[in-house]
Amino acid sequence: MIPNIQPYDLMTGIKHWATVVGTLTGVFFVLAVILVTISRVVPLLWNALLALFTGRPFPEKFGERLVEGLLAGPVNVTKGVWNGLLDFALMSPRRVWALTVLTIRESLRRKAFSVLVIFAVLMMFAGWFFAGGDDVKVYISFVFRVISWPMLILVLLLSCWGLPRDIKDRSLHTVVTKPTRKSEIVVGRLLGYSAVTTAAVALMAVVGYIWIVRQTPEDARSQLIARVPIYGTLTYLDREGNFAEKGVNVGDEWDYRGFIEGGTRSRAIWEFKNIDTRRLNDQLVIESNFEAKRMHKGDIGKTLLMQYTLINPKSGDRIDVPQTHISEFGENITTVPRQFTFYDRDTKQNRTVDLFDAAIADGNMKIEVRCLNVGQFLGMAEADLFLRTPNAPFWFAYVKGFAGTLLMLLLVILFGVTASCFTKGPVATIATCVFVLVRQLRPFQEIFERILNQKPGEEILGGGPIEATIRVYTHLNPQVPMHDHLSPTGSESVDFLIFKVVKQIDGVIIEGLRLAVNVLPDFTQFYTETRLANGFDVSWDTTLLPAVTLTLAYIIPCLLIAYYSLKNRELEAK
Amino acid sequence: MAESVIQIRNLSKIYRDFWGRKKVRALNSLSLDVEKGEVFGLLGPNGSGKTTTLKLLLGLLFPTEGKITVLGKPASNVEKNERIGYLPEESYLYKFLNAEETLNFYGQLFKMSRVERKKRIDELIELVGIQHARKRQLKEYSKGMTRRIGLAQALINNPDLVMLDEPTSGLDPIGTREMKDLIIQLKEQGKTVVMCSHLLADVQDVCDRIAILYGGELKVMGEVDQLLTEQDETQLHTSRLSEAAISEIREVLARHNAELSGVEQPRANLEDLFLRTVHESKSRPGRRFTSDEAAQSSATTAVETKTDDKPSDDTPDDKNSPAS
Repeated sequence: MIPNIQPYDLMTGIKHWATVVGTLTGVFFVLAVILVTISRVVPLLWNALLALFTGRPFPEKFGERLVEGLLAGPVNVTKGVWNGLLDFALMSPRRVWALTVLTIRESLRRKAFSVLVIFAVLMMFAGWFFAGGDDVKVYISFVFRVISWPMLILVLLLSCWGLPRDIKDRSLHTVVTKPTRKSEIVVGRLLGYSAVTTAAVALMAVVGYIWIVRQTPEDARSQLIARVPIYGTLTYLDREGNFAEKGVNVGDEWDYRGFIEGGTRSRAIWEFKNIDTRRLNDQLVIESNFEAKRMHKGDIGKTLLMQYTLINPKSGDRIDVPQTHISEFGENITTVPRQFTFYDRDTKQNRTVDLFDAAIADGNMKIEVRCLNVGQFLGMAEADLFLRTPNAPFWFAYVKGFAGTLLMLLLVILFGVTASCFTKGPVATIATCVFVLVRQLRPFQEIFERILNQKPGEEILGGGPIEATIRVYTHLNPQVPMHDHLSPTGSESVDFLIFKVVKQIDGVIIEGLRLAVNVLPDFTQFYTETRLANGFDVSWDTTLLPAVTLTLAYIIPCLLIAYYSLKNRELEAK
Repeated sequence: MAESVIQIRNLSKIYRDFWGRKKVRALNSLSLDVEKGEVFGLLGPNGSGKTTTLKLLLGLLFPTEGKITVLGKPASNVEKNERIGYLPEESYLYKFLNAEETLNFYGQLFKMSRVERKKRIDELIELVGIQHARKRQLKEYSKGMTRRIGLAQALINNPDLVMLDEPTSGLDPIGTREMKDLIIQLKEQGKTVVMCSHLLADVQDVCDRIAILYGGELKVMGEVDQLLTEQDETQLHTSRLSEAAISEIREVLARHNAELSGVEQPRANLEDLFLRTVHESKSRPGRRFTSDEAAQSSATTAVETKTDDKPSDDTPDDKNSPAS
């Protein structure tokens, strides 16, 4: 998995939140208006048609009722939305608390905490199975998985089955015949399940932490760190020294890393912004992890040679850091002291500078990397080089890591409770699973990536679903235009029209999918485990803020859907 | 004119399937009023629409047509529920809670202070007689006990309007009597009670007015006394008469063109006998019905049969009680 390293500022978060909230509420508003209008207008038109063809009496006040029917959708739905908002505004904290406590009691008395027994058994076996290992990564990953997976099943069962069981047992009837608002039922349930989940995760996380520390051998404890990186954005220069968006592709199928050619003007340049020098502790620690690609054997006894150059983006000053041999299978850590003496190639003499003044201007700095071995290549991706600030305490990073897991579970609860408001337990479980998984599945990921990466005015290679089907059926290469090679009717103008219609329909479908991409949650935002296992801190701006935004984005639409489903549902319907 | 607590106008309810096709018409153009302070009974055989009416009043179902006003507000308004107590046909409660937790939970749904709630819980637990099981989870309760706690939750808010769906279902005769006494007590406190039942004797005992539904339609409505009075007959209750006296009465009646349709000694109903037996058993715990007693009992009956025409001083009191 490619980690997200770019900081996610608050504005981006708010924009993302607004997109999801707007899209979801907009879609449901339009759907509700259409449904109400259809339910009013269609029977009227049907009766009128029957009257015309069968001689039945024509509906009375037809015109008046038709106008009323057409207006009913927008008017009633707007009124409904207003009433819904009012219902939420008038919620009583006392009743919400009562329902929350009820939900907690229900979960506890229905043995929700038996998940702890599963956890304990797995931990006991793991202690024996992993005994003696010194790879901390494995321990951290194990603890995260052994907590998140059973908890995922537990929250699915709790949230998707709670309300349907209440409705089936009719215990909800006794509640709704008290002055309880539907919004209070939904919020009470959500808070109750969230409290149970938080308590269970917290308990297991504490046990997990003790287990990790105890399991890790004394000499491997140094791996329990939380590096705090500052990332930059990466661009390349090609062998002629011209700007290049991507590095050289040396034949890897996975084009995650771009390569620079040694002994040429090819460079990889990281641009850092908003560096807070107070965080750097009077030194510049550069950590990198590059992939070496040898085009010839070279000096087999030595690793490839590279050099960093620090560039002040304002003045253009270049400060060369001494050349270093890279570690081809590990990290390169270079520490440059604040008072730094280097050989100035322009003046051809040694110069001592204060690095924070000479290389960093207004918090901005560039680091240029070059490979010094002629004919050899160095491969790098954006996350492969970063500045290090003092490490965060491991336990704190661990807590933040579990905050991500908890947010994921809370989002599942939100979806589960929402689905359970309009359907039965098994269906709600399946619906929640689909909603959670659909963006995570590889075939869907590819489709969504294509749609997300489509630039304005650009066509997706191979067209939309209908064009793609035609191309598959006629064995037509996706690269060639359809109208040049296909002629279903023989008439150029008719064919043109057909292809135009196909493109239009595809356009609508793709826009629908684009909408879906915005609406379907990307659960990879919650994967904090890899970051922690690799010895990185779980930072607020790159990890937790996107996760918080994602969770918050679904709260309003889900609450509204849940509320209307419950409100418009006849609990006693036969 | 008395204040209407419930107004139903032209109420119809059609149950539809998933596709919106009509399945059954449960109610058809029902109109009725329930007045403040009365005990109103909805009667009818199974499937007549009485529970549907109650659920429509509570907002558990939505009307297909018609209008409902409860305590001056539409049935869909949740605020009206502040003044309503509802006992469902089965007590649909959370089985994992105990009696105290159950009442505390339902009490929290109303505007009641903690102290007031606690006091009310103690009162209700005592009223329904489950003090011994107040800490036991409801899943361990018998059906009768579940009904009792169900009734307690319906009264937690001291409601003005109490809706009871088959209130005596699942109760033993003592519970049934207590329930009926309680309904009368509620009426005395000025509360309005709406109950539906198919146990006619229960309804007759407590209701001021009744409505009889059949096939979703209102067939009869009125005051119980008025509806049950046989206008063409007269009933006299006297102390025990001799054959001669009865013959004389026959002659008198003949002079007035009336006919004596039957002469019999009134009998106590089974409920009274049962309650008396239980009451006596409580006061004399060691006493048992033995085979000797059974023989004596049948012998006594035989003697009574023989001496049927002779007045006897040792006739049990209940034999003189008026027939219900």
